[in-house]
Amino acid sequence: LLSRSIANWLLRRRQLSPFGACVNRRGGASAALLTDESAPERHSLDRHVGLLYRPEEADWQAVTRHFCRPELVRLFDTLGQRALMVRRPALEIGERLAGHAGDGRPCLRFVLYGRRGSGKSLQMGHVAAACRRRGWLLVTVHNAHLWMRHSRELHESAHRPGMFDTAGYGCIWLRHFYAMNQEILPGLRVTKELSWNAKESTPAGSSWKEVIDYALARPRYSCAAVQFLIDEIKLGSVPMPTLVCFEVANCLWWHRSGIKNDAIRRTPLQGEEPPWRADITAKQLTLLDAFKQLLDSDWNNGAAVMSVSPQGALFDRLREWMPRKLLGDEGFAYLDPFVPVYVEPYGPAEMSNMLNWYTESGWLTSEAAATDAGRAELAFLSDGNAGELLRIAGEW
Amino acid sequence: MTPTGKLLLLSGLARRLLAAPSNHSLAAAGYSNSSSSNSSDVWSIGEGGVDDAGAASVSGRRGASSRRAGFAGYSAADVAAAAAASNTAGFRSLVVPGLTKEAAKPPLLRSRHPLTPRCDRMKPAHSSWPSVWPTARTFHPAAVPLPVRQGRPNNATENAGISPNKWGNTELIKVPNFLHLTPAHVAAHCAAIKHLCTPWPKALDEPGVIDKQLPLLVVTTDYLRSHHSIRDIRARRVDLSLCLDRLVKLDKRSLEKLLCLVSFSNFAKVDTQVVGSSRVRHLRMWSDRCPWRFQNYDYLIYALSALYSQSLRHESWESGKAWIDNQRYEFDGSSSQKKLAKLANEPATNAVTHYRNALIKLHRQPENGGTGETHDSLRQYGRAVEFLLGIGKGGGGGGGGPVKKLDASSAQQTGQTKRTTERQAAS
Repeated sequence: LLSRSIANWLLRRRQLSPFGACVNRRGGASAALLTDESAPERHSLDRHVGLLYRPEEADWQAVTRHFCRPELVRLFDTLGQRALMVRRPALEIGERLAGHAGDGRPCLRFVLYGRRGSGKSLQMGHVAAACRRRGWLLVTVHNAHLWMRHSRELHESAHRPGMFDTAGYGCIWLRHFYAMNQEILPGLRVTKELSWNAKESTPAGSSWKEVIDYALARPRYSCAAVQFLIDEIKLGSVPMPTLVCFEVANCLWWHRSGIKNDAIRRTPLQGEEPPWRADITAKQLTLLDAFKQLLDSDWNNGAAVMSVSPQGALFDRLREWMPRKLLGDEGFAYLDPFVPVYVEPYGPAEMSNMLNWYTESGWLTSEAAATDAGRAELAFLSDGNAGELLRIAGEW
Repeated sequence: MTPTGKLLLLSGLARRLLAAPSNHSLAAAGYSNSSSSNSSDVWSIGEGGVDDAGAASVSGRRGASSRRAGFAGYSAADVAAAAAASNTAGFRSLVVPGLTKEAAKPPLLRSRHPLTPRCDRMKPAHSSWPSVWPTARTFHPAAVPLPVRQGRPNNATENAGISPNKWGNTELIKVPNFLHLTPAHVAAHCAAIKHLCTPWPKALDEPGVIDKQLPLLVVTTDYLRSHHSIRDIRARRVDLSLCLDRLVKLDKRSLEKLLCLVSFSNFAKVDTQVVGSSRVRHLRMWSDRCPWRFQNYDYLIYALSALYSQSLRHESWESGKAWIDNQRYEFDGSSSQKKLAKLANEPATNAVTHYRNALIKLHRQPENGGTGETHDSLRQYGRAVEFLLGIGKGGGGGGGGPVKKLDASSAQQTGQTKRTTERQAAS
């Protein structure tokens, strides 16, 4: 009875609701619309927007998996199948990159913004997979905001005096970087001699794999290795274009962090409780500063795609999700000029398709989820947010 | 025998009465003398003229020989006086202490229910409340003709479960009352001072005139409360409001300085209202730092004068003002403008204009002429950047690297026209 009244009310509001199309004319769920095109670089704005595609195994393992939330990865493992939606923001960025990036052109910068759970990281993943298939070098950072919350093996930096190295994260990232670019890396050569300390150095002309192996063996120098590799990219010694993907980029300009510097005592702020130690911000971390250099516009043959999220606004619990507010004056001035790309909530067609796929794949088990009223309720509860829909659908 | 004597005889009161002739002639004749000579003797009840003989014995014993001793406790003079007072017929009356009804004396104690209280005697038609209660005074239940109750019984047995009435209610006495400020009082006060007032100027009723004539708006608040103290700390606050257009001699530079000074203070702000295409700025200040209201008012007037005079003064060190000190976002001198020089290719002028306009619209808040950060302004900024760098859908050239110039210019032209019309429609 209640579902009937909800259904009636929603049917009456169908014309006004953006999710009106979720109420299928035939009634209930229908087949999900999948595309056979599993190659992200071949998705086009005309034909594939709103359709689901199944990523290839190689793409998934190497690239796309890292851009997904753990919940989504678990979902795909549970269901035994993977399907990602092709959406407009990724295709627009892909179009720009294909036409105007690479080939020695200056670095283009795109900033994805949207509410939490709207799908920014997955859009970046789509762009990254497409670029990888085109043969680009991928430099992706997923956990910068976590690097700022917890410190692993923090020590003072030797290669950049006055700053701090996080050796653990450096090693993890190098391993991840190697796994992502396994085919390309053996062909890359270092053009300069890299001196780790007074005694040890890697000669020019050695492969990148050697540098990474050295840094993994000597974790102390992992951040230095990252810095050297990034210097190489900026010099232009890499023959193919480079795509930099940085999730939660606004943490680079945030004034707080979870890492305290015991060596620095400062005057307490109003109402602050002891201990009054200084935060080690991203400006003082060599690893983050190295990636920040890649987001600058002074290098060629590459592009940078970033996302801004309130997750990077530590300890303020901001409800802001607009880029200028999250980046602040300093971050905006650093990234300017960039192209802001809005990742909007699901539209009616996308929502309908997503619900269809959830029903088909067996994730939505309740009978109500197949009815018009149930689908409308799911659409209403999630408000078009992809992450919310994933979470709520798990309860239906 | 006198007629009274006959009556006494008939009534049988002669037994108890010692009918003494009340005419003074008898007393003057020596009766009292004889009684006074026998003053030491006490008359006894059983003796004297009270016996079975009755009147006969009275009349029979008129002689001195039948006279006995005087009354117990009463002197003959008292008796005579009482008899003289009560007996108009000339008979002496017997006064027995404890038995004889005494003349009504005034009562020693007040009775429990005195006169009807004033409140019950007051008639609305005849009484004027201001004359009953002219000034502030403690509550008096008899004077206030209202059946007020104050208090709450703890249970149903206390005062029969109803609130105590006004009689002897100390709570009503403790709280302040405003019975001296009723509308009748106010009317009387106003009538009394009306001859000292001038009429309200009719011209001030027109809209906008009062803002022009009296630009300074001062707001104070009074507080009433039911408490043993009528003081309220909030009553000291004074708010002052002034339209900035009324400050003459305030040129662009001085206005900027004033806005800058106000941004530093924690007791003043400038409200900007966008009315159509014009902006109306109000300077609002408040003060509750002094304990008394007039002190706060004086402080605000002083602060306003200081603000105004200082913003008119231009010091030499103000020329060291940096870009970051601007009150609102300025493109000239910003880092974005500096970055234009670093672009690979020199961008077209209209691309720069679009970029500049988009940045201004994005950064400036609505009160300064921009829109702030909205989806629209971000989208416009994105389009301007694409145009600037030449990465738009339609455009080439611009900021790109080795792209064919011929195609780029034609594409750019079409791109430009499309974008100009877009921006005109948007703005």
